[in-house]
Amino acid sequence: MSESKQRILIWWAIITLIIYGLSLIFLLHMLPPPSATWSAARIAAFYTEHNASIKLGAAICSWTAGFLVPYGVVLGIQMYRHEKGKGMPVWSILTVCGGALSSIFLVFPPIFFGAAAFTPGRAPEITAAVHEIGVLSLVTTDEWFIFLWIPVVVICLTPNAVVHSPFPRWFGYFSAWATLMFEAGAIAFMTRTGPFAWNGLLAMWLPFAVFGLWMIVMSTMILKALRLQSEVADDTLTLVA
Amino acid sequence: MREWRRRTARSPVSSFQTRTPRSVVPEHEGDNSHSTRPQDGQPHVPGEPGIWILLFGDLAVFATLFSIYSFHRAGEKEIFAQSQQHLNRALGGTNTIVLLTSSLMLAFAARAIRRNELRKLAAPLVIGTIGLALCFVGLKFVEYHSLLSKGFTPATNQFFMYYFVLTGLHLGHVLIGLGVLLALLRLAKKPAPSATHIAFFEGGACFWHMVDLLWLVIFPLLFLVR
Repeated sequence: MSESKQRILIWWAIITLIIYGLSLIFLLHMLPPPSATWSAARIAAFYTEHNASIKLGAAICSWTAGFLVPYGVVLGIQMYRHEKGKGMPVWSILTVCGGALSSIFLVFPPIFFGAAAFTPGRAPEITAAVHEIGVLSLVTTDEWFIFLWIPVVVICLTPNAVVHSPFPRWFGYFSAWATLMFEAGAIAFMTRTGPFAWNGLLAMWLPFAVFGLWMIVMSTMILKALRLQSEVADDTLTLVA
Repeated sequence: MREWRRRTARSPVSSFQTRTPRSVVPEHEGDNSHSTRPQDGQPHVPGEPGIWILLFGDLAVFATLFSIYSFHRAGEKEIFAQSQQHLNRALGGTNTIVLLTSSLMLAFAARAIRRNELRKLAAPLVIGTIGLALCFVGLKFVEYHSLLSKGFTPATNQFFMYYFVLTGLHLGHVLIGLGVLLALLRLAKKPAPSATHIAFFEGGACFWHMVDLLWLVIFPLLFLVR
């Protein structure tokens, strides 16, 4: 049975996610990011003041940013139970790809923040530019999570009779809402103040809060489903009747 | 007569199961669909419970956006009032009528899909809705083009930032709604939709009505309120 292996992957993902989040908040000081109206000098001063912790944060995030890779794999396997016997498991494959690709945009911002802190004495404009690339790649790239979530929506909403599935219908609507809530992130390119700035209510706070909420709900349901699935003696019982 | 009345009033599922057992795909045991199965006299919530998470969640975020817009407008009344003059009210008003008509058409389609004798009307009505949605998108692009060619961009001032973002987010919902309408068209063409299909159709229609409702707030808020 692969349930115990899947459980390991989920916990691996959850633990590294928590470490990544704590590092982003307390070491990198980028959740929330500082105001987009700061001058280059102010930004350079920030990187000088927090130099050691930012570099440490970048290192820790480098180790822990890949949590969506194992998570995407487990999602794909759970989805495959719905797609078994119906040709190529398109949605399962897409979600695995989504997990892998979303990780890119989780690992890059800490790299940029670390690079900005790497040479404290350089011209402030250069540090500011690297800082901007870092924050923008953190806030505006929410779109990529779509490839993780749309398959979830489709699997949830396709009528099926798979037992012990972590994909009930209501979760399809919830995931659809989560996907919609992520859309405002890219607007951060267009303004430095207000709800759509990179530290604004709709471009940053809402997507991050929704992401956290979705992860909590999905993880709870997957772990519950894995427990029920491992109690079933025979794998063939999980096929659609 | 009693059964016919029951069907028109509230309960598509029970009427299918009692009157026309052959035209319905039976639900599987353990089917995880949660479509409501109302009894006589029980209120029928359209769609499924889950869709309302999506709709209310989205409405809550837009409501927050509208409050933020109103708050910012209160601080800069002059600039907002002046900038508002540049908007094309005729286009906005036409779009309002277009969306309202499309919602009406879709509501008729939702009624039609529930009744055996009217079901063949459902697909043409959904196609009509799609046509009107495309009109909305077309008119919106005309509106944007005219503003942009006059030099008004999201960076011009706060009003135009809110204008482009609010209408842009709404347009995004319209485009997603178009995708939903295409899915509903597929359902409308089925000769024998199950209860889950119908619940999904209703839910999808509710999403479109929400998109319409959002525009009914956006249009006066951005175009008319001074």
